[in-house]
Amino acid sequence: MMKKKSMDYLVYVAVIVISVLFMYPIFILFMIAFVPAKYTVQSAYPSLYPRGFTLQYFEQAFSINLFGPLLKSLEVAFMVGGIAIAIGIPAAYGLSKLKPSWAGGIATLLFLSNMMPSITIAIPIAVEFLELGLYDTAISLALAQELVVLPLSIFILLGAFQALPKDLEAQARVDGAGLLRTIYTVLTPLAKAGVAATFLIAWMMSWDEFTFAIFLSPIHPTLPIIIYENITRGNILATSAFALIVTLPVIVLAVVLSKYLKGEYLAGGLNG
Amino acid sequence: MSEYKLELVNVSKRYGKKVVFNNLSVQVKNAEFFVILGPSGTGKSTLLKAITGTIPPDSGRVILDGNDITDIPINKRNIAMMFQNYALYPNMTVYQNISFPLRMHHRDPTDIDRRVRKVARMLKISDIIDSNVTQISGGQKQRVALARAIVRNPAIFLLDEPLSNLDARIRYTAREELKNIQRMLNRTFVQVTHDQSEARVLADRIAVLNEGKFEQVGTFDEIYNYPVNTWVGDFVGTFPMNFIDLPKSKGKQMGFRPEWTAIAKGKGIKATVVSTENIGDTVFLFCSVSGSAKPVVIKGSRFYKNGDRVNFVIKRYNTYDRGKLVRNEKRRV
Repeated sequence: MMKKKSMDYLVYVAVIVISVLFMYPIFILFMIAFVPAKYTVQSAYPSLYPRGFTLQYFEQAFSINLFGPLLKSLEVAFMVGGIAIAIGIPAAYGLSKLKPSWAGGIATLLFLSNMMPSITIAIPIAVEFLELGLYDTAISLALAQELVVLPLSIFILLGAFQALPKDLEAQARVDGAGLLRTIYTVLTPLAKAGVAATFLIAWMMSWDEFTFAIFLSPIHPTLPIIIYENITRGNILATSAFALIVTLPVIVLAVVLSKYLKGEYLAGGLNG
Repeated sequence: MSEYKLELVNVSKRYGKKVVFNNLSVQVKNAEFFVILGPSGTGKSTLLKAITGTIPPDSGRVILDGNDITDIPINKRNIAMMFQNYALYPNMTVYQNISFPLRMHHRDPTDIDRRVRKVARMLKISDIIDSNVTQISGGQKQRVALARAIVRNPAIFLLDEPLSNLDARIRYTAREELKNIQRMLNRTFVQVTHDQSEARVLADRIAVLNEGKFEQVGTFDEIYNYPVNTWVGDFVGTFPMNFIDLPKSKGKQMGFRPEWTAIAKGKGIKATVVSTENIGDTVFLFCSVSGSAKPVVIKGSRFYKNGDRVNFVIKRYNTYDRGKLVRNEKRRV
């Protein structure tokens, strides 16, 4: 018993260490963004607690027209998340009907496009979209980003669909549900953790995606492009303010979706 | 209109080299409680899924009400199915679970509501109708699953071990209830089970399934008293049927139930008690007897202990020739 108790404490210690490790960069980001530079980046011995407060860097950041890129980034990210789910669910359902070894093999094959450098794909796509008149639009960037996002989305959703009990699907079919209704009214709600995770990951992958964005949407750029431009100009203080602006929506989305990311919702209904 | 409610004609299913069942044929009469009884892993569940279409058979026909439904889509077959784990939709309430089949069939909402509440009253689950199905007890889950099957008024009910997930205490009442509901609805129920006491209580007729084929189809009395072969005799009954080689006739055996024997002083067959089993009012003796490889079970009494020598007589028996029941024998009782 004693041994188990001390093991529990060790788990908490590990959780704290790992949390601090992951949270520290975000803390530093806050420090640089809100504390005057003389206490942080311009100081020989940067303070670990805020010794002042300023909104100056945010003013600088917003002096550039940030609203357009923010809107564009949001638009593209939600499109990517939506398309990833819309295409991912039927694909994952179809694959889940195969033998798990076959399904896994095919899902792995889908990653082929990820194995190539994005830049070799981005340029021909850019040419194609120019011809189609889709160049610099949100949808064109979203579709290009799906190349990278979809394989991973299908992979996550496949796991979620494979974990569903087979009897439930059979029950829905026998109860009179057609194939589409079975997928969307019975199976998808049960796989909602996987769907939420997929949406979040697709959204985030799009949110900080760079290569496709710079090739396909240079005229009305997304946030990562703006950050890149500011860093190359050496405006590190305004950039940290940017970085916060970029990080906050991800945190908000993760918190909103977190209730779906828990696994316990399935227990009970299936076991007697 | 066909004479039978459900007919299986030469239905076969195999996975790779493994044959689940081969050329199965059976007829189920209208409004009968038909139980498919067999040991675990003999393809009982697969057979039900072949009828629903969720696992289509490789060959053979499934005929419901005289219509060949083998190629009809699963959701258009008008069959209700109840799974062993109840397969309740965990994201829905009790009410939504019961109304699901009706909603899938595009019925009028007021009609749906009326039917759901009626069937909930019938199964005494009105008070939990708005609960989430993850928060109700095993017995309640079983009722909800049954309600969902009943509510749509299907042509036939298929039940896959519907009672085996219940505690033993609830199981007996649930069994009675199931039988009463079947009588009240006057509908055809086909249930699979490995539990022969369940089959005995519920079934109008039983089909004994072993290794993908029906060994025997009949009432419990027929199967219990006249098993068509030694396997059925061995499988059905609290104790397996006893088989003793008949002297002077090669390959023939007599088969008899423990209750068909009586202890006799100084006459009949000699035996040595190996072990005893007390079932309350009766003590059965497991005895080693020449002519039988396995211990023979006979009806005894408390006075016998291991190692005792006893004599017993057989009051009635069936004759088996190379494992098969010899028919047209003068049946003695």
